[in-house]
Amino acid sequence: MSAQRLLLLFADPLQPQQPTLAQWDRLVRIARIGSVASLLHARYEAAGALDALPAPVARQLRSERTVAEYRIRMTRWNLEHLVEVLGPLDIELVLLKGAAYIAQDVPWGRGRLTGDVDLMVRASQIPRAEAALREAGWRFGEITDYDERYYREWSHELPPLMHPERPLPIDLHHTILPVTGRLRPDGDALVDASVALPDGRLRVLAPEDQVLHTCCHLFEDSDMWHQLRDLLDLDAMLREYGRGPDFDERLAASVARHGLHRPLHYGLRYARRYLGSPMPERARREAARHAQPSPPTEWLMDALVARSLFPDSPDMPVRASRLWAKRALKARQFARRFPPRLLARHLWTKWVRPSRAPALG
Amino acid sequence: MRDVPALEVRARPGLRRRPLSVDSIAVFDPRSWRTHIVGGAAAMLLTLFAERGAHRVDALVDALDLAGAGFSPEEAQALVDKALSELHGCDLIERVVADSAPVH
Amino acid sequence: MRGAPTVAGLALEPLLERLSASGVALDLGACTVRFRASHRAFAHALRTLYGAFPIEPDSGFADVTVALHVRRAPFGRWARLCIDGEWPFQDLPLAMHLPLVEWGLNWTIAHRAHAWLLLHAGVVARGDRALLMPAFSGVGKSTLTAALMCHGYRLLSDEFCPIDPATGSVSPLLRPVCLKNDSIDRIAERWPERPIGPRTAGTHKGTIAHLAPSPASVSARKRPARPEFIVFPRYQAGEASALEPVTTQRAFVKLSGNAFNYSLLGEAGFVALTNLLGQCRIYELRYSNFDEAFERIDALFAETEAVPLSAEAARR
Repeated sequence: MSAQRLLLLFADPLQPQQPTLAQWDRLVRIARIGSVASLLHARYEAAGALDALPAPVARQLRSERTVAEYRIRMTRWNLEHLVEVLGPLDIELVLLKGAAYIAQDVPWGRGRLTGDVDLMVRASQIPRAEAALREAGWRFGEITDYDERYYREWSHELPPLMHPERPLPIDLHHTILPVTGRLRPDGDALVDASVALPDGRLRVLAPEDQVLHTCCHLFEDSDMWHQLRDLLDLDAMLREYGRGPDFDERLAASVARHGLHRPLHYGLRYARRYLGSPMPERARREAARHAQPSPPTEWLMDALVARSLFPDSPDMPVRASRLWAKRALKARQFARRFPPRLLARHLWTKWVRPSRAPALG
Repeated sequence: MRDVPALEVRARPGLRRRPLSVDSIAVFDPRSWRTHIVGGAAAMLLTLFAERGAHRVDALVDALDLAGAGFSPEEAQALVDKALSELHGCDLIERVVADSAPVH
Repeated sequence: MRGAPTVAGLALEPLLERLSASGVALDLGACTVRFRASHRAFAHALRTLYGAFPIEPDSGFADVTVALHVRRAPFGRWARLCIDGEWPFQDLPLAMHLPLVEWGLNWTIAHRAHAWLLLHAGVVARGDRALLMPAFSGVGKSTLTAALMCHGYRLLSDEFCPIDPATGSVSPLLRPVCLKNDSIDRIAERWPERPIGPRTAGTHKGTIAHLAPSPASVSARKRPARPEFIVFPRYQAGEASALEPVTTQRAFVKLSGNAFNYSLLGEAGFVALTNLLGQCRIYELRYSNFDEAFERIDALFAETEAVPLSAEAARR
């Protein structure tokens, strides 16, 4: 299957069995659908393998990489601005996800097609941070009162903040999962354990917490089209951080502290299955011991993830089973995030205003 | 009277400049990836900063030789002030307090 | 490729069969496009508009694949465009399938063309000397580009001007020229022998039809050209024609503002655009009929034949 071939190329760009042009046609399209085409370019570049790419393939991947580099530059520009605006407040500023990887300059951050800048502060500091950003010209976009309330009360982030002169928004978080969900990671503990970057002003989650966050993002809070990329991130982190002597212990301790056994269990399971990631054994056992789902549940999860993870034939509408799988996974996320009466209310309000596709011309 | 350090101004480091015509230049800011078209006195100032680095604010009128171009001292000062304001608004220049780190 | 059939070289049935199965891939110059569809009317239009293009082998790589689907609804049929598993655009009534495909293709090409600085301009050439006509609403850029091609210039594109940041050359991105409303008749009446595709009424731009690229333009689609002139056209009925120089800074502002990806390219875009302006003579052309425009542009090419580039730069 093409998508699995794609994963093999990520693992080893210079493998002797290079794809034919026709195979590349499919692979590039699948990579694009999964938002990993620019990452593939970065992977080939890191391996010194760009010359192995046929010219039209290199041009397409180069084009995707150009978009990613623009977003990375805009992210760095936003980060410089955040230090100026929020620095004087003397609070911990913890970068999450793409913004973190870019600031850390880790390999899985290169060529990353990032979007918003995700910033976490302690819950108690949200009002001060928000006020400072507003004063510097940041505003919520056009959102309804309902949406704003959804974000503030029930979610773990404020509505995205936008600035008239800057292309990328800022998402301000106080924890890594919605507060109404079944899983309640400890936001303050995450900040306590965070690590300062060399510049001294910005911080990132501790390595074991970055792994946990990605697992959460993958299965609890994903917009469902970035799973391939998240799984690649997870694999890269397990390889990179796994080299540290006490990573396994720290991961085991952190998963217990935050009660994130289930996400870690599934994250490790699928990283190993699809990417052959090295396993932190102690943490894996700890997660499995507490999270072990019943075999039927696990079988269902395996099937859902397999169908949802890999983009289908690019010429056909998304395969019915894939769409169903994504909907089922999304429904699971919602169910785990919302108590039933809140879920009903949320869905009711969302369905009253369906979104429209862009008109052409 | 307290000895106040001279106020100097310079172009932000890293700017890329390309002349477009006799009195206008295109400036690319690698931090924000913004492009600015700068003309007249503002263009002359940027060229001056490129050639001579930081420069005292109170000596800019002389350095540009605007009097030689037929402007009265008041007109020349007004032109320089407006140009500085334009460049500052585009985030293309920064203050340098002599003997210390750059300040905004 | 010797022996490769052209789109018009295939009869309608085998073409339709191929479109429905593996698709039909065409090399437009700077990029390759693959069409997939089972709608007969589309196959017909393809033969008219892309007739001279050789069909690329199935084993190749396409930059963009567009699949045209037909959706049956209670009150009529709808055209929908699938691009890489997504439906990025609103469905249109089936009668508008051709503009849907052409516009969808435009949008997608523009999103994947960042290996170049992609300007929004019509491009024609005499040999390897190129004339760029930047596009702004209502100036008649497409009509003039079409007319210049009919007058004998090589067409590179009526919409996209891909500038290679490394060399400064412009590559063809050869597509049918989109004509609107009155322009369709003006071209059709003057050059009745030139193939024009089916008219589609009722689009948000009015009535649309496309002019096929000339066979000479198609044969030359792999040959880049050197930009020499940038001309901002302005159709002004009743006024005498004029060709006036435009300042470099004005041209910079206009071109960077309406390019597809100037900001995205960062410093590379900045350098490519300033280089381009440095190597071109820049004018605004006011004209009220084709012959005036032809006269001005022909003269431009003729009079600058022998002038070395360095003298040009010094004069500005």
